Amino acid sequence: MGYTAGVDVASLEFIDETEWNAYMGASGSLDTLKAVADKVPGCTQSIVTGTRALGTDYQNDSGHARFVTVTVDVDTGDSTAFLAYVEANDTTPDVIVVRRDANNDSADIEFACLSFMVPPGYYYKVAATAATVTLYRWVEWDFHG
Amino acid sequence: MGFNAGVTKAVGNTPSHTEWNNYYGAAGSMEYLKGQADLIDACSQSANLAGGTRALGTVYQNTGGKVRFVTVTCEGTDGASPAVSAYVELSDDTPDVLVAKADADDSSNSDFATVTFVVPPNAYYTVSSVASLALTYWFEWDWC
Repeated sequence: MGYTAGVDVASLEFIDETEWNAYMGASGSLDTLKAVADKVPGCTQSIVTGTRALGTDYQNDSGHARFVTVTVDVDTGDSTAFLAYVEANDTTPDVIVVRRDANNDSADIEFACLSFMVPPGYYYKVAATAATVTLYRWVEWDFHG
Repeated sequence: MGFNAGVTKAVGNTPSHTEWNNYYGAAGSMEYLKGQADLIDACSQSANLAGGTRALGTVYQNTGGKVRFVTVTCEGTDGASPAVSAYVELSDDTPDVLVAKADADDSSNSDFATVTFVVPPNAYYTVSSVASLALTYWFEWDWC
């Protein structure tokens, strides 16, 4: 049902059941708009460094879109490729959505970060190719109605 | 005004004007829902705020009432190996919760470091760096 702007009625002005139900009935436009309004996100921020690990598969089971930012620490004398994977319907996601290289050997790139989105229900993983790379910070923002 | 679920009326069960106006009046719940619905596809992009209204080391608050995406890019200078860090905190006007950190290395053709993060409505945020780092790009997108 489409949206019609509000119109005041005066005292004692008659409203019949058809008019009422079109707007405020159990399947009227009010409930139609409620379903839309429920999609407007709030936003929560979670520092989840302690409960996430590089190379491990996770699922966004929050029911809402998730924005993820991960920072890694590369040992001196080492370099790594740093990748994020996001995929639907695959518990071992292998679709690369973002990648960067961090070189703390010939260059002084110790800290590197990636940011990406995870749709509701999707699986995701962050991995680094060098074994000496450590997870430094993992932050997730969930957008929720 | 909060949301009241629809209730179907039978023939002869006439609503009062007060009941009607609570739902469908000019300041009723329908107007509230319309405002919420209009937010869904609204997304604005700032100009490059670097060198303008944003600076490294300064605390800002997201007072726009919407979720804010921020991307900050800095450039290493003078052969230095600078670092850029972003902090976001909900109820602290001197935020120190680190959310992203990245290095650049001007001496090895890795000049630029970028951090991207989210600022919930009303949260405080700041981006800091070591010396010898030039703020190049600072963009913000306000969404919903």
